[in-house]
Amino acid sequence: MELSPHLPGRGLRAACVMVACLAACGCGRLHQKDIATDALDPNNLSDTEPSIAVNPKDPRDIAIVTFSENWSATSSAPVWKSSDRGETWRKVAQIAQPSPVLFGPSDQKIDYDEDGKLYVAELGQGGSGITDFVFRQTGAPDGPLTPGAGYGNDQPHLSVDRGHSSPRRGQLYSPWLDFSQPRERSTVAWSSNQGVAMNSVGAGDNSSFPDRTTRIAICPDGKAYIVYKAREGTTGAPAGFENVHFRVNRSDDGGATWGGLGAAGVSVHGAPQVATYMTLTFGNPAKGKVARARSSDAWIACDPRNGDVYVAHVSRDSSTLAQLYVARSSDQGATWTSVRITNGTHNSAYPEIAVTGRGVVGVLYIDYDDSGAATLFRHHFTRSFDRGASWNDDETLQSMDPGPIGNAASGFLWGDYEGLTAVRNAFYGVYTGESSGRAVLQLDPIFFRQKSCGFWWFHCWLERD
Amino acid sequence: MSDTERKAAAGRWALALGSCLLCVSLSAAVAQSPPESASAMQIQKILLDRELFGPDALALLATLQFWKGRVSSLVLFPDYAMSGNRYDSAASAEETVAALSGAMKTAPPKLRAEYQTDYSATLSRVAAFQIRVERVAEDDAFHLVVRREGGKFLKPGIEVRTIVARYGKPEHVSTEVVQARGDRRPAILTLNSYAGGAIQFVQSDLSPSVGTVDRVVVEVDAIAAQIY
Repeated sequence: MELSPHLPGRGLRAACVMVACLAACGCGRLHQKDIATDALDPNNLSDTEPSIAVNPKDPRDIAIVTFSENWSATSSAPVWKSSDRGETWRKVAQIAQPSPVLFGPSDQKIDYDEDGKLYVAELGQGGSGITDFVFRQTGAPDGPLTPGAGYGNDQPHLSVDRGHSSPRRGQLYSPWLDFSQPRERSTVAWSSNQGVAMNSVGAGDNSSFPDRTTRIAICPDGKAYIVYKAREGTTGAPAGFENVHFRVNRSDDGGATWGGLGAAGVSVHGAPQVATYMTLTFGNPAKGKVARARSSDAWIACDPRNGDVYVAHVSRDSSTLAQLYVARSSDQGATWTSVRITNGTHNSAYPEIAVTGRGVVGVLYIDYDDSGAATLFRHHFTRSFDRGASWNDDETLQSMDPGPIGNAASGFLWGDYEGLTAVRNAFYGVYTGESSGRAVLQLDPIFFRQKSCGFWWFHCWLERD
Repeated sequence: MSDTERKAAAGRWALALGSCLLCVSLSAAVAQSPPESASAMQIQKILLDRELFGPDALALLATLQFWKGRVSSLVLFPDYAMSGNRYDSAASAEETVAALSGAMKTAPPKLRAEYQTDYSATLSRVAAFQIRVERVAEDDAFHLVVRREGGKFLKPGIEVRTIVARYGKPEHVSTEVVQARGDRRPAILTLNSYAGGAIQFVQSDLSPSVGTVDRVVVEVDAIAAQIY
């Protein structure tokens, strides 16, 4: 077919129209929203340590948990929910007190299974005891969630196997840290019946050093990966840091054993130790409030297309600052290639990593700038469109001075971790930041969403998220 | 002016100056005494408030002399009390428990008249107190814990606004993050201080209901100085 010498080609015209449409509808633009309002949060709670999940069956359904209202004998703790991609939010009280002696929520993590059923891992504490529970949806989406068997101890996380090709689809995993041992051990509880029964298995190597920071990812083939750190002492480390190895191990049998990469797993940064945070004073104590960063230094995710595994972790490097690195493995965790994703100018930590359906990798993290009179903490979201090789897309989500914020408690500002996930072609995240539009300035859960396609991926842009 | 007259004049000046200094000192003392007195009155008013404290709290406070020098503060919860002091190991706290348990078997010193009636009536409860070392989940530390079956120390569910209505706004409000060994959610305490910090009404963000008093902290030395 001959093209008219006066008109651009049909393909070019279509592309122009598409670009115009994309620009007009805001696709790819970062959407942010303070999900709390004076009506939803009348007690001005600090809503720290948020976790997010998106219903894979209908990504309009988004659920978030934060430290909001506590459960009691007569009332349930809430889940923040949206049914319109995060445009409007409501609070649904559906996490009942799992035991009369336990108060909470204290540590929580949320996830959906492939059928769109909601799960929440919760830690309850009371007296001298700590018990974790997985709450599961057994009725209507907004109905009371049902707790399963008690298990575990510190910092339970949660991930449900949603892999289409997984032989263990629906298998549920909850990592936690076992403090009952002389050296704390990274442990993973698994369940094949939605948390009704939980089976805890030692997963980290604590034969020489205590473990901490256990995070989990499930790949499409059903293989489960954890990243954890072996805490190897403070020799030569500056104050507030310690020497560690960030190790990944794998379970090929639904969590029954964790030896897929040897007893100790594989270090994602090779043989040398790296220095990471072990501090209650992330920030500059001389210039304002500070945050706890003891298990705020690693996260893991799996590429849903090809099973590549990504780990984001902290390493204080030659810049003499804590920096963030992303390591990628294309051979089920056996070998890793690593790249620094921060620019060596500010201390950084609290990484969460996720991968979209087309392999775009995103990292949510925090750094701080103490060059002025007050320390500014900055939430960032950065993406890589080339499998983690380059990171040129860093965007500051918010810069916050917690000093004037009444409910920002120095020592625990936003929590130990925050929330990031990906469904289809979009990232969905939540962080605890400075409120907007509230009668009282405070910490609130800030939701963000960003469709993430390379600009030349026309199908990606046209797909519905 | 003769030497004698000069000496007499100097003496008069010295006397006048001395009198002035004395007056100034007395004035200063008088000026200082109202706050002390107000503080003592506030402590008395709070510690005798039966709408706040159960009989076991009064009994425990009556034995405060035994706690002096051993712990710096006591923390009163609805059904038990514990030392504000934290111990790294059970062993390090056991010695104090043994000493306290022995002392509690003896009669406490005489209370001031203002406290005598209310506190003495509860003293029989002391015999049933069990003092032991317990590991507390909140901070993963060991504390001395006082329990009594069916113990009634702090009335549950008291709202902070009730405290403000009764005793006015707190003199000072501060925040304390209670860190534990692990990385679970820490308790974030809001401390509402009265009587120069001798008594603190504390809210916890882990409390099931927002705005209620989770515990009351009493400074042992300051309170003991008022009630004996």
